[in-house]
Amino acid sequence: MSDAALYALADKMGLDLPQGLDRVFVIEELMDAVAEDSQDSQISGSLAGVSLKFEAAKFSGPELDEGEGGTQPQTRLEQRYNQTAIKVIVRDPSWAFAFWDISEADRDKLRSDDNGISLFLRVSELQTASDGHREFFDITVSPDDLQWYINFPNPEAGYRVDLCAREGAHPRLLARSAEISLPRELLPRARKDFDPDTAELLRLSGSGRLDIEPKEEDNPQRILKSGAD
Amino acid sequence: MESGYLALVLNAHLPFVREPDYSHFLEERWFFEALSESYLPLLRMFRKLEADSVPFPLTLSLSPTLCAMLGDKTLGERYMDYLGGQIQLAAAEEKRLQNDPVFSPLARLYRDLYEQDHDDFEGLYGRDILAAFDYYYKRGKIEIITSAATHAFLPAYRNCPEVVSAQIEAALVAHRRAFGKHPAGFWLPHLGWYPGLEDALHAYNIQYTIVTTRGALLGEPTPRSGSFAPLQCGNGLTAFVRDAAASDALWSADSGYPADPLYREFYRDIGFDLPLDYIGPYMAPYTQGPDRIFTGFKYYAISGHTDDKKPYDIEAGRQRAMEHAAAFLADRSAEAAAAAPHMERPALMVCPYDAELFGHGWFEGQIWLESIFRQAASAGAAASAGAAASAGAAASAGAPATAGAGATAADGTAAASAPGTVSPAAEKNPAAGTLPQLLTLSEYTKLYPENQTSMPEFSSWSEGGYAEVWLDGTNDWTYRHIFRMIERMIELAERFPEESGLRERILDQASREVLLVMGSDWPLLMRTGKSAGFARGRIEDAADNFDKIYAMLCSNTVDTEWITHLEKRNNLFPDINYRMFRKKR
Repeated sequence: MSDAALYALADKMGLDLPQGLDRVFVIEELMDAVAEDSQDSQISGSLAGVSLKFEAAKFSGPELDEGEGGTQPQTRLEQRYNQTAIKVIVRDPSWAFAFWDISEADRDKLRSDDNGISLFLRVSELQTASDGHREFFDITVSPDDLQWYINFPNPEAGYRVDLCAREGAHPRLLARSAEISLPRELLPRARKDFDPDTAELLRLSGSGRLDIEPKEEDNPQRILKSGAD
Repeated sequence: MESGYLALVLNAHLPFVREPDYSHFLEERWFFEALSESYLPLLRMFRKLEADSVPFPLTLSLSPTLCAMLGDKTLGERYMDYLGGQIQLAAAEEKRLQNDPVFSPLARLYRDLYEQDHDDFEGLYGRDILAAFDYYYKRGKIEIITSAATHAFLPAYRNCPEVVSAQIEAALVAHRRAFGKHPAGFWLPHLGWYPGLEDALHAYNIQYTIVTTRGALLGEPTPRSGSFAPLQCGNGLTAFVRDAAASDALWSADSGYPADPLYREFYRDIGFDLPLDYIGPYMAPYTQGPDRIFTGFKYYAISGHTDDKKPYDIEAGRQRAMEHAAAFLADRSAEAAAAAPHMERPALMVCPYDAELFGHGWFEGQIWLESIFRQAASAGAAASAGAAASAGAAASAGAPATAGAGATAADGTAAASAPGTVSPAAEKNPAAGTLPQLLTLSEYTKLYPENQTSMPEFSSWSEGGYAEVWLDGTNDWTYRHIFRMIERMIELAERFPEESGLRERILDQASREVLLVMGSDWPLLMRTGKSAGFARGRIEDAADNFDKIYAMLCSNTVDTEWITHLEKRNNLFPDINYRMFRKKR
């Protein structure tokens, strides 16, 4: 991930990091923030956890299949279909799941490269900047990888994911995903900035409990940006 | 003008678990348990309310897979066998507990339940439960809507319009087969919505659906009325909005009604409590060894966060359910009253729940539901006579006089008030005492056909609010295989657009296997770890079946015996047309 993408991610997570920091330090800050977010989501997700419990209650039976609770199960289905393709499914405002395969013919072509197979995912924003520049970042994956959870720096943005191989200094496109749109995670502006009736109805509807109100104190930049939309 | 409107919506759904290759199949018990504890009791409630001239304007989604099982003769036979076993166990329990004054009434409760189920299913309805629901549907007492064919979580397939359309089209065909008419509404499995789905729904003349509060509030533009009025997508599809406070009242871990200590404990079951040499024979047909399973006989109350459970008190549970019904209505009244000054029309509160919660998951849920209808009807009658329809009026309809009435909580949503209390806010606000009018969603659209145009955001009602449940390390592996099947099905539909005879049958069966593999129940089970092996097997079986069909079609060979057996095994959607998978142009 480029430095710009790291800073964009930090901004999205409400971290106010000064420019020019050591890359390792930025990553550590992001990891800490992810851990905190995870704790928060465990708390705010407790109600949703109950909903999951109720949804699953109609499936009475063994509480947990031995060795299967919360783990990646073994399937007898083949993992590869000898087809070069990539698909992406959006999970939430920050994450999407990408899975892909490379046909044997394409793998053979890549193996003929002296440097062996070097693969990466190029994650590109669909919207181009005013100067025509298009933001993207790369994720290096191994030839054995067939799937990846991608963290996106900007919610509400559109993205496309390309499965690429490095050929010298140039990337070679192997497969391109369909375009995806990340969902909005916050109201477009603070509740108090809506007309009073709407603000009150949003409050009564539970906008606070759903944690979808922009938090001014946490991230003034975000408010500023959102307000300008 | 009404003080507010309340729309109760139940989604009745189970995955297709019919397995005729085995004499007894454990997962078929999901269907039998839901029939015994939720669907048949729901019909009994309709019967009682109709006899008492109490309106029960319920919107009920019956999923296509559930309809397929409700109409299946093999499962009907097997349900009778299951009931026979339950009645035998009830008799044994009555004998075992005959000298126990605390537990013997509970054994009688279960004997009465299963005998009543037997009488209703066999004698009253002639094993035709769909016709029983249809009776109330045709008389306009309830509204029945449909859902995705195999309850697929549609946002996962938003980039594949062919299969989203197939899920809708197969559902509508199944609905028309069961009820002879086109449904106005479409239940989104797990309320999974994404922008663009409105086109697919509207293309099939669906008038409305329901989205989450999160999805609506994050919509574009932000809804002026919050969750208290439906939205209209650009193409005219109406998106009703789930009421968050009403959801919490039943789903919250701390303040949700089903967690009340007086209610029956779901997880304490004699299947796990009694010696295997006694209880084992009653479970043996469904287990492959000394495994224990839920029997449905549960004698203890929730009793709080303790393993020292108290015996379940039937009457105390019944009373508490009626108190909770009164509290729920009072809380909705308070909610509507709080919204009223800010709206140009009465607030609408849409309350969607899983139907199996009522009776099966929450044993007293049916009492609660019936009490809602009775109290609302009674309060309505009082209001028309000029009297204030209050929680007190509700009490006169059979509810305790100590009905709780909620106010708005600190975070703004209407709080689920503690039973046995009347909140100060409800006392101060006279409007809070006027109960909202119950109606179906179609009735509301007739009253208010025009709504604010807004596009809800992608969301679901499950953990996290988006697709977290359907995409995690336990189940993400399935999508590789599902999408492979979908792509090949589209390819087959394009290659063989005008087939007939045996080849058409084969293609239709391929369509069934694709729809079956998409069921949202499989990733849910993998996520929870419950019956995850079974869920994985359903995915693998469908993928194997499809691959074999694909190979047959490509090689122009047919294993007629095998395909005929598969048609009999996975026999849902008899009117399916594989051409629904053709590319959308």
